[in-house]
Amino acid sequence: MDPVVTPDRARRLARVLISDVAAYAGDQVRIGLEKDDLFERLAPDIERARVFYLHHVDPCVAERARLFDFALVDVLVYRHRRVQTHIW
Amino acid sequence: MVRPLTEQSYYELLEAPAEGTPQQIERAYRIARATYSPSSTAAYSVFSADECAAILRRIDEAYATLSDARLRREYDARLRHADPRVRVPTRASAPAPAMPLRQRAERAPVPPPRQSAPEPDIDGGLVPDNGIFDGDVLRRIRVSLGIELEEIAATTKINEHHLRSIESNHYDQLPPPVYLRGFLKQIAKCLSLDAGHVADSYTAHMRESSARRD
Repeated sequence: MDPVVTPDRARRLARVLISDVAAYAGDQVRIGLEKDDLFERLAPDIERARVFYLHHVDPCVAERARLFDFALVDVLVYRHRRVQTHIW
Repeated sequence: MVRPLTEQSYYELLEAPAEGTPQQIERAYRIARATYSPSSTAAYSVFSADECAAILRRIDEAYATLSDARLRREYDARLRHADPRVRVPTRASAPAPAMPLRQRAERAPVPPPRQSAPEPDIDGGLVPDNGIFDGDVLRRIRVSLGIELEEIAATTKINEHHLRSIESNHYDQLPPPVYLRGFLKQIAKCLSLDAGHVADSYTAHMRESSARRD
């Protein structure tokens, strides 16, 4: 895989990786939101995704770490905003 | 004698120094993952697929703990208190394994290259030189193209459960072969790959793997 050198591609890669975490985690996202332990519950998968992301995204990409964190919130949390939980 | 996996500390498992920096831990993790990946020729003749899977799970567990500052502190504290479940990792007191697992694998005779040996893990090329498309290769290509699984599902109308099973090589959860070929061709089109070749390659690899398992 070619190194990612643009923020757009980095953002896209982050979203795909987090989306995969959610897809392969099945019910764990819903349960994590309900019990308010989503990030602890999925920590190994998220860390694997982060390692992959940082490995492929060139450090010259502005805010590369934050792009990944934004994707975490957008994809893991916002897409599951209809889950009934005391968090919101 | 090499201690059982469960008795090795996370540091020993990753072959990382107990006082290693996060970068060293990450590097050790990547090397360990590549070493024990199913396609690793180093581990091929030493461990069965199940053993490799168990080791990889333990490696992931180790990395999850050691890459998190808080969890690592707690883990180190447990080690210092000689928790019977773990080994003390300090260099002075910890008896190093006679031959760490990775060295065992590296010293094993190198088998002839397997037909189904895509490049391991995250450093691998996208399309394998041998042209064999298994689920892992399809997933790598999809991720590199920036396509989400649910986009494939929306485009092809294939249930996400089937897509996950295809990418995870969970052959026992796949639909009957006639449907599977159709699914594979649709996925290949989404990824701009040769549909016929992907379907042939995946099903051939599936048969081969199933036969090896039986």
